[in-house]
Amino acid sequence: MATTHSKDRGLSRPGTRAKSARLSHHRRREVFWGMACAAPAVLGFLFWQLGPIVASLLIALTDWRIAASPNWIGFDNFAHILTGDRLFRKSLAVTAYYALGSVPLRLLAAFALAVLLNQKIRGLPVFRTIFYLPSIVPLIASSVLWIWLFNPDFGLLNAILVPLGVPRLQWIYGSTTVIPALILMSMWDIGPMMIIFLAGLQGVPRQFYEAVEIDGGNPWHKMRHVTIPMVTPTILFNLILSVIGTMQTFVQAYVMTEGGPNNASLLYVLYLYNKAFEQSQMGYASALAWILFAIIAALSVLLFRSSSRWVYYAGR
Amino acid sequence: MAVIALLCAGAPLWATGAEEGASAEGMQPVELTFTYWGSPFEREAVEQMLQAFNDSHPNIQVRGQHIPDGYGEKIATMVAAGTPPDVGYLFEALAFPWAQDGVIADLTPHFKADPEASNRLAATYYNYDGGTKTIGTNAAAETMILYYNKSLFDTAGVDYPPSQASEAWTWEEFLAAARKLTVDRNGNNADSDAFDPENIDVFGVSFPSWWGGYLPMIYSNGGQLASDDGQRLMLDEPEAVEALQALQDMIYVHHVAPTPAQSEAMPSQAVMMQSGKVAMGVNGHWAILDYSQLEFDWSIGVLPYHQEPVTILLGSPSVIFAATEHPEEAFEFYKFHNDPAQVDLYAKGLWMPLQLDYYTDPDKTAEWLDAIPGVYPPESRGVLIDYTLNNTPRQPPAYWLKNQSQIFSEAIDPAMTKLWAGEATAQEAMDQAVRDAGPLMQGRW
Repeated sequence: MATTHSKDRGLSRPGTRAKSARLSHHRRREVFWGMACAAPAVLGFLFWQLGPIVASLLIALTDWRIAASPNWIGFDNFAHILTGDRLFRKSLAVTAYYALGSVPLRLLAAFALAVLLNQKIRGLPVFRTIFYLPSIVPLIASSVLWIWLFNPDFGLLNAILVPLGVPRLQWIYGSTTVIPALILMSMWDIGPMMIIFLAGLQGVPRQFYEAVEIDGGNPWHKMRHVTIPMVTPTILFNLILSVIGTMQTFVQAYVMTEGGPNNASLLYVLYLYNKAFEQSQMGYASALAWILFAIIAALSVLLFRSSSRWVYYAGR
Repeated sequence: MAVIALLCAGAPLWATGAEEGASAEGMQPVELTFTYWGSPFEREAVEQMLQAFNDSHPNIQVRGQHIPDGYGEKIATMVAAGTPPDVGYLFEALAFPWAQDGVIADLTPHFKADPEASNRLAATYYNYDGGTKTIGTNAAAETMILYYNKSLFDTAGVDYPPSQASEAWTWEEFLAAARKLTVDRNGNNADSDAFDPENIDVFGVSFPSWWGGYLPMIYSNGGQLASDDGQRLMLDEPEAVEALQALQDMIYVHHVAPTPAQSEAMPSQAVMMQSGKVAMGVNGHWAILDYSQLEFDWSIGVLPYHQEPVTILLGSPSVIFAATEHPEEAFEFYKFHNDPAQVDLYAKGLWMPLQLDYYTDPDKTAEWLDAIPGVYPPESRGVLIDYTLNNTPRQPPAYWLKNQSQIFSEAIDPAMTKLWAGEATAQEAMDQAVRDAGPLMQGRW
């Protein structure tokens, strides 16, 4: 309630009023509906997420184990995580390995697919649908599907590769192959990223390509000097979303490998989940969550900072 | 997303528990809540038990709450919100710390005051504080046994596994039988020179990769999982290593048991056995329920042994929450909810009684095993009665080891997955387990 109040007051501030008075009737209606539509999300965030987020920050400073009342232990959780926790380092390394493999490959594949689907070919909508389709399958279902594909003895992947002379890979059952296997699997749902790339590609003005043609450029020149620079904002967007998503990968490890064998696929969020819900160490798990938050925030800031060097915004 | 979920999980901490007003005693029946997990099938049986209890106890009315998934999380939320149930099943990994924290009632006075109720299998008690206090007992007793498909034995010309502990197979006898029963797609068994381990049609044996599968073998070889004081993991000692190596060898040396990947791709053990793809299976006695519903010629035997024939008794505790306002009535229900006369899950093969007289009094035994013809095979008297009474010398760590869930998930299980995947010898894997468990060992409850 307090939130709604302060917003009302904000609207009645003289400055705001003066500004809104200048808006046309049509524009004012637009602003109203814009705010009305955003309100559920904003209020939902304030009531259902902000509170728990603050609570979790407080819990991270306690030894809360659900049954007993929490004791304030300051930064002990953080200290232990950063100095004494072998599995924290392991899970961070596993997650970094997974992200470093998965993010570039996904970006590349989604971009390549988008370029292909941006051509004038027959049945284009069908292809676009087909490549998007896997993203609609619930993650749990596709995980079960991939368990079958990865089976060393009866799975489709080995059934194709072994006759071609590839040694029988253990996929998710071997500690050296499990992360590469999960990276391969992460290529499965690049549909949404592909759609965003497609939108970016279609925003590239035709006349730029014509200019390249007049200058005698080939398709590679078009790609190198027009397409890629023009879609760098889209690349940045997909890169950041994909880094955030990948760092939070959970279901695959939870359903397919339980972090095994021998913790080789102990992704960070799975470890966090185990701490919270298997071992009831809510304080410790909250601290882990905040460390992940800090890491993701730092990565995002770094990517944004770097973007001034390589992202081209038309009109700037 | 999961991060947000965790951030949200903190909310109940600051939610105030609903404080009860002045309770109106008198004619009003006492109301209790009972939480439990289990399949829809179990739910049906438990609902019947609840009905019977409520009908026979007009002064106590128990409301059941079935929580099939996320049980621990749900109960934790209820506890955190200050509204725990009165009676409920609970995972031992939660029950012990909660008992220590005063969330679970100590049932010692109740059991002391009621000799009949306390006449239960000693191995099913969850005691803490050096044996001075008790959480209670399992909801039901459970043991690990050996299932087999008779017709595969007949075809291979192998004698059935013994049903008396005194006649139990040695490991060598067990392995010899498993080798004869393992057959490749060309019909050669594992003893034959032409045997092709890449294309196995029938596996001699399948065993579970969790502790129910390997602990009896370690105990049988004179080994232990952890020292009695709970301060040191003992899986790297020769007795344990030998038993574990023997299990790993069944997969990668003798090729008589499936690899983890092969197991993963298989349907349940009972179905594999029915379809003739597995000849013997180590499993909990509870699988009798599944087996009895499949049409094929099966029976049960005792596990093979290294030095002495042993199995383990296991299960999860039923508890009374300390916050209950009606401890007497709660204990009344506690005695009732796992009384074999009230719950047909005993007769159907899923549960074994806790009460000693079902093991010592032949009439009681018959009430249990013969209630529904065709469920328990004739060998059950040896495999379930005698074996349980005389060959369960050691309580699994679940009954006494502090911090066991973290020890398993962070030290033992990772090493075991390495062992089962064939990526390390038993000695290498267990050295790692013991090293990783070092800082996690906190003694015993």
